[in-house]
Amino acid sequence: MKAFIENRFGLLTLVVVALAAMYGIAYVTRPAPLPPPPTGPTKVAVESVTTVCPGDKGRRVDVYLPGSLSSETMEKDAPYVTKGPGGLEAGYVTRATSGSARGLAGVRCTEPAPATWLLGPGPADADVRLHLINADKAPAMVDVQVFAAEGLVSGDAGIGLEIAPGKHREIDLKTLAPSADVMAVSVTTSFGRVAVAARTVLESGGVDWLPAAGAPATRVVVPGIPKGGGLRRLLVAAPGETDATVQIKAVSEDAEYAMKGRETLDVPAGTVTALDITTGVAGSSAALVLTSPVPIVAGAVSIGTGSKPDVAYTAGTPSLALGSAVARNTTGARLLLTALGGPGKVRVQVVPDKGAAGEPYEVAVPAGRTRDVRLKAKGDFAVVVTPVSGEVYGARLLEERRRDGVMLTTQPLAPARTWTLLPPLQDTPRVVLP
Amino acid sequence: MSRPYVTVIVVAHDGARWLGETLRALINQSRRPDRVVGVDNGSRDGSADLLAQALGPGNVLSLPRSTSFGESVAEVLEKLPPAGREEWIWLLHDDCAPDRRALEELLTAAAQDPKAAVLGPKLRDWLHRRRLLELGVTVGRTGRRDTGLEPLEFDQGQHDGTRETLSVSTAGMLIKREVWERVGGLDPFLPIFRDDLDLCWRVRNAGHKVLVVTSAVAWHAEAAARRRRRITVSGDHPRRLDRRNAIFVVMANLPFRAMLWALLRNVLGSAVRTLLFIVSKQPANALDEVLALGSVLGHPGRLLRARRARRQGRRKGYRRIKWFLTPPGAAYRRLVDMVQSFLAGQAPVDAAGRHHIATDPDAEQELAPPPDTGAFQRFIGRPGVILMIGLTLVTLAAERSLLGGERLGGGALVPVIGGARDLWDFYTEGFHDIGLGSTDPAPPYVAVIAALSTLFFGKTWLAVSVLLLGSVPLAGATAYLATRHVIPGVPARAWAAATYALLPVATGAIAAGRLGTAVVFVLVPLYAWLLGVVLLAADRRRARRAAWALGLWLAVGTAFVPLVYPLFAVLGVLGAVAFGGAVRTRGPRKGGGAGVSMIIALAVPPALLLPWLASLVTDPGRLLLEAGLHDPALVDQTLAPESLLALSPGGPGLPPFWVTAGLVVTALAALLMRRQRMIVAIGWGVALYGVLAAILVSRITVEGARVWPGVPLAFAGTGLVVLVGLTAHRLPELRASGGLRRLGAVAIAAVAFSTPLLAAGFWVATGVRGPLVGDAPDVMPALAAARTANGERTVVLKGSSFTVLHGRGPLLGESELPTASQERARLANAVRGLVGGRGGDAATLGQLGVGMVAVAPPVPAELAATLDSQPSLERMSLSKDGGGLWRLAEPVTRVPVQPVGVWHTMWLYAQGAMVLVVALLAAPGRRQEESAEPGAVALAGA
Repeated sequence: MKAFIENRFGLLTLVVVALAAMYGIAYVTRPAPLPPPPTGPTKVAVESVTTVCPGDKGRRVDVYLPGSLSSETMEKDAPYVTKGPGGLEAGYVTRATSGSARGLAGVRCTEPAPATWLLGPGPADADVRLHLINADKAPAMVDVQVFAAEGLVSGDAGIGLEIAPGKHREIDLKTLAPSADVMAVSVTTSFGRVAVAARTVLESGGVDWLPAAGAPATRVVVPGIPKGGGLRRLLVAAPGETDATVQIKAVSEDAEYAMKGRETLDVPAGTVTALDITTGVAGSSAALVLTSPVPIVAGAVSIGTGSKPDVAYTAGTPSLALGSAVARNTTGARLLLTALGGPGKVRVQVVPDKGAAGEPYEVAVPAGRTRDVRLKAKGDFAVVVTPVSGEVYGARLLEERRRDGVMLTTQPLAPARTWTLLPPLQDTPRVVLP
Repeated sequence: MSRPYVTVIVVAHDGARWLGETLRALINQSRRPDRVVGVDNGSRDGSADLLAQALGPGNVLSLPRSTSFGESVAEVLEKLPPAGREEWIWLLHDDCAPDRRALEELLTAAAQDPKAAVLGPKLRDWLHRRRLLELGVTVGRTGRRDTGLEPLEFDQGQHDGTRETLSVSTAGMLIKREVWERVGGLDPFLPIFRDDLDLCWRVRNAGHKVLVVTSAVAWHAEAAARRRRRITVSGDHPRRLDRRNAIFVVMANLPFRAMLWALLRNVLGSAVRTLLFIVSKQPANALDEVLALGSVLGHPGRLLRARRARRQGRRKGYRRIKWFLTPPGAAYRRLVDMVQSFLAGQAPVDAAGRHHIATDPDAEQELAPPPDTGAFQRFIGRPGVILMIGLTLVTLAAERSLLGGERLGGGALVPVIGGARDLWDFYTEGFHDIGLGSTDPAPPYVAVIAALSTLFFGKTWLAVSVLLLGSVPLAGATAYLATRHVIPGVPARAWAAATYALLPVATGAIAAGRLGTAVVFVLVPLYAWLLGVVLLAADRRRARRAAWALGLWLAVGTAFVPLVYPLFAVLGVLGAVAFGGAVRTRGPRKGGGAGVSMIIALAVPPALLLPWLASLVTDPGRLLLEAGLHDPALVDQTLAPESLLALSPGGPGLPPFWVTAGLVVTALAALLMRRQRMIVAIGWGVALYGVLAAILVSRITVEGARVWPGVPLAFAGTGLVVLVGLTAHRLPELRASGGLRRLGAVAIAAVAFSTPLLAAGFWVATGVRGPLVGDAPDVMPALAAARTANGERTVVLKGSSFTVLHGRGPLLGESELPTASQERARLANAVRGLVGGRGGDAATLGQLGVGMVAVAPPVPAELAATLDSQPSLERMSLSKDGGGLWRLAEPVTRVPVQPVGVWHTMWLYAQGAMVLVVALLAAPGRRQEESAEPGAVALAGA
């Protein structure tokens, strides 16, 4: 030992060995890179919901809260505003068996939003009344723009409409775009938010409210095209600066296919293009899957058969990943569920306005198919659809077969207000760094 | 004109040592006095016999021991009948030997000026015969005695010339008996010190002149003032007596208005002097100062009586006397001198000014000035200064991108805003009204920065810039100074300092804005030096003082980087165990010294940082973090082994890892030496310890990012640099031996110098590109800051993160306070909801005190649309470069002030007191200089 220490190379050897050992330790313990922090949006429970329906004196509005359904009768013609915890759904259905507004019409009470898209027949073919309701405490500045087949046709008349807090405004779209036969209406606010609803009464007969279409996206799924005869039309708008070439695929009860001769649709920028898909879906209940390199919005018009036809609208809708609910259903309600990508499964629960909530049951949807599920409940009830697996889209169809023609209305299964997707945000003082 | 009659009175008191010579001088006077009377105040050393032998027993009066000089003279004059004609009294102390012609000269001068009533000789030192003591004395309005002489000034006739003065000493004073009797003689209240001043003042007020006659010389031992003999007239310490009498005389003799002014100055001046005495560890002086003033002020009746007695002619006399008092400006000049001498390492209070206290003359002679080439040139020419200038130039060149910016910030450093006042407020307040409010203690490094900012005239940015951007030259300076007594060769020291200062840790810390590491990096050489002193100093008191200093600086380092403390503690304990044992066996110091010193050094930081350290211990991960923000982007998440071994800590702003290869290779080569194996082994031990600590630390994840191993690698670097520096003197030996060895020596030197040169080169070439920038933008919009009137908070969004600010950006240290977590979670949820377009979140924000939402540029269009559409938000501004700002339309609740624990203020006081005490114990004090005293005594006794 002594010899080793006194050896000229003793210390050197010792240090080199120690250094090598440390290299080893550092090498062995060298960590893997930390995974990057999650960047996607996170699912957060909704705390409170405000929904707004256009007023209709004496009309009964059904209000669904998770687990219960109640109803309330509107006492005034003023818009109906209800506030509640997460999961609140409200809506009503009108039914007229005669008159110019004959037919079933359903409306889902919507949340005030900064931007809303509606697609449907234009003022040239129908009486379209747009309801803008400001249910907030701050004023709202609203721009209403109507796109037709020719492009933006509404001009400046719809720009800069100020709506005071708690006030509403009803606009006959004929004043903005008298000659459009199909239209896409964009309602945006430069400040404040408005709840938007539009009621159309077709000149050829039929009445319904236009459901809000999903925000412009490069992939849009339009579920809820009912089975049976009658005209089926697809409306696609490309709100951007670039023309869109839209690939269209139909997903029917039996197949997932591109419709012959209608595989693609060219939509010039800033216009709405209508496409007749009556033969394409061939009387089957179906959904349409549209993909486009530029963002588009889409909706569909279904006209029932009979001497006095009724109309139903559906629109591009997100998947059921966050669940959905429809507050107002009556006897004869059906669900049109479409699974894309793989087989899907959802859980369906019926909540009647009287009595206990029904047992939830699961509904399987084969991959690339649409399934028409009849809801067996009677009377007024709410239906709740929660996802189990797969990517499922859906719509609720109300149908009443009468001798003078089928009355129908559809409502796409829009995401429930139970959950919301929020961007990730970190509370960190690093914000102050350059 | 008749020949005046001269009576000489010699007063002796335990002065046999000098009396013989005094009497001889008296007898040998060229002008023989007419009468000589000796007074002996109860001497116990045979003074009375000496007097009796010289003057005859009949001419000697014996008085009790407690009789003062004045009383003795009065006693004698009572017994002596007046001479009948003009009579002069010549007062002589037993320790005052007049020159042969002194009396003659004095009388000549008296004859020339009929108004002269008091005349004094030029007093020189008894031992150093040519050294001047007094040529008349004046006094400042604060009672400070002023001879107008430099300390230890030699008499070369430079002050010669008979002239008027305020007063002369009673030693050798020639006074007209008539005047003496008229003014009442020496005041019995002033038994010693300043009695002469008082007498002369009264004589002047009576309309006579006081002259100093430089052609008459006397040698004076100042035996009482220099404490060569006991003062028996009073039990008090001469210093206190002197001070008390000084104040009293000035107060009694000044006219009323001047007296009030002088009183004020005395009270203030006394307070300052007391403080300085305490700071310079002279508690006895401080006590004397306080008691002296207290004794004067405490007896207003006495002062009033004295003033009444001196009322005659005082105001009139003052007009003439004013010119003889010390001018007021002298006090400031003295203060400046004092500060200068303190900076030069002396005790801050000069003890001169009463009577010149002899200092060791040898020490003075050693300081004989070298040939003067100009102070600036001398300063500039020192190798350390040249090194500092070089390092500063390198630093300035490398940091070119950071200089001249408006706001330094980035990396770990929050943009520096606010001043010293803000930092002090932040440090002292119990409830921090920032973010959502917090009662956690502010990190103590804030106090350090605040103190430094105060020194920099309140400019925090300047303090931070100097510490962070100047860390390389500062570290070079500390390394150079710390190795002053360790590494002998100047080139080796310069190499060591430059290599240490340019270690990758330093450049990395600067680029990443790591203020904590920068400060510790500057302090590490200091730690090494102080540790060396603690362990090895032969003087125990010096070791203890170093231990206190080490504790204080360790506390400062720990406040910035807590990891320093455990890292150092291990080394310190090991060192104390090893060296404490070794020293004990050698035995020059008393046993256990190193151990106790080390316990002191290690106990000070926890004591000074207590509550904050306690909060760290509850969250041990934070022990590994440092001052500033903890950002994953600043750390190399997978730090390579070779980087760690090359002292490269990873992260931005680093040179290639092989830059330090020269240092490592040289250190390895030092292992081959046969001599100094111990030093080399210890150096490598420290280095390996530091690297091992760095490896362990860099593998730990705290708060989502790995720990930066800068400080452990600085320790390792210190070990290597010191061991190479200590063995560097072998190189010249090698070179001298010629041949291959000479080549080897040159090669080793080249390899060693490659490290600092390469590091500097890379640093200058790449510059500081790191996250630290010189002009960090202020994320707080000016509009929001202006509208923050009632405690509204502003949520600032940037990318996918946000924070809550209150009226301004965060100060240093503010962003490190953990705030209430439940509230924070609620806030985070609400802000996410707001950004995601969910309803109802604005109300939550309002409840949490948020009044505004700001988005830092660039503002995404969707985010702007979302915020615009929020009904509870009202847009105030939105621009491409300025970002956006929205105001909450909801009612905003103020963030509630949380109650502060009562102990908080108490703790702050305790902390301040502890810092003061530790600083006092660590500071070099007066006690060190007292080693000169025995020498002076020995000389005096010779």
